[in-house]
Amino acid sequence: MSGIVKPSELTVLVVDDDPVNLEFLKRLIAKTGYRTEGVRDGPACIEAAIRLAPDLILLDVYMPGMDGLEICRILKEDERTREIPVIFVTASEDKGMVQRAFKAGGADYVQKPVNRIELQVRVESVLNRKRLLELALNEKKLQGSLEMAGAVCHELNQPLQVVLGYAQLIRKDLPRDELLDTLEKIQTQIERMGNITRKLMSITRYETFEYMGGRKIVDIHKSSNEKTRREA
Amino acid sequence: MEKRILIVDDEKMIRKMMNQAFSMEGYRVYEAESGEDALKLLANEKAQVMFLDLNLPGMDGIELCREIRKSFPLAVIYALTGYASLYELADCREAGFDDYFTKPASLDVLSRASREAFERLARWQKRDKGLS
Repeated sequence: MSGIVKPSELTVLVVDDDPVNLEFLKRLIAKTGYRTEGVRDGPACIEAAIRLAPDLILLDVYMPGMDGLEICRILKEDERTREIPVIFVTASEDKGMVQRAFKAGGADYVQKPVNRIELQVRVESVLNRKRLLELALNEKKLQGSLEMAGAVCHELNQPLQVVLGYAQLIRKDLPRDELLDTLEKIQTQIERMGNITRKLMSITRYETFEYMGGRKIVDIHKSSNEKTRREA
Repeated sequence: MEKRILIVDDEKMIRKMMNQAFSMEGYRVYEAESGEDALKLLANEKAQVMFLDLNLPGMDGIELCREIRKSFPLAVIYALTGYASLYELADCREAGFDDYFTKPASLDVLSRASREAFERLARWQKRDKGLS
């Protein structure tokens, strides 16, 4: 994700059981340039959250049936919707409610009657926070890829060197027994590479070690497949 | 002058393969599996051309090259590396390596490198003799 995202590329899902309130909130959000979608109850919210993958959900706390806190807890339990930040809309002055809203996984809250500027500032701030988190996560993923690439180079270039060398030696006139011996060495190294790639593919959790120049690379011998570890 | 090559690599199969290749070309080949072993060996034996793996257990190839340079300023020392960044290659130059090769390196390339290294050493020796 690039650093700059236009508001028109971001979707805010607004959830309120009252059709007038819903329309009002949608308009406030749309004025800032965000795309909006509206739904009026919990099940519709959860379905829309999965289907649309919105960038933010503006969620009314008090609704008949499933209330906002419960909806939020469900969203946070589902890995498809866990990362979507939720801003609660509450009529309550109750500090306990604010605490419960954050505990349910809310990123922020606004109080009714909703002030346009305040809503816009909070939405923007939550979206910025999300963007920074995504950037940090991407950075971590890139780091992980580099550590893995390092391990692949480190592990495979050794046997490749042996195979290449012996393959070239075969071109010289070797006596038959030496030739067979050399072919066997090549085969052993190819099998070793096969084991390395199999190991790499099954890694679910990895450890790194410090390579030269302070760079870290994946230690494929210490890394493991969680499934086999549990069985062990 | 007997042409002697030192190979330092912690991987036995790589040492054996390179030893066989260079021996077939008439070189005398020494092997060491670590920087410490290489220094011990060089206390008694002399090699004019050396191939050092960069990622060695204990003393790494860069440190080893610096150590060797103190006693053998004229030796031709090559780095052989499985995974190196530009940053490390700059370190290699600074440590006194003459050149570097990435694994897997072709034996043709390595043997050309050693041939050229011995030719270069021979030119230096001629010049030394000419001066004296």
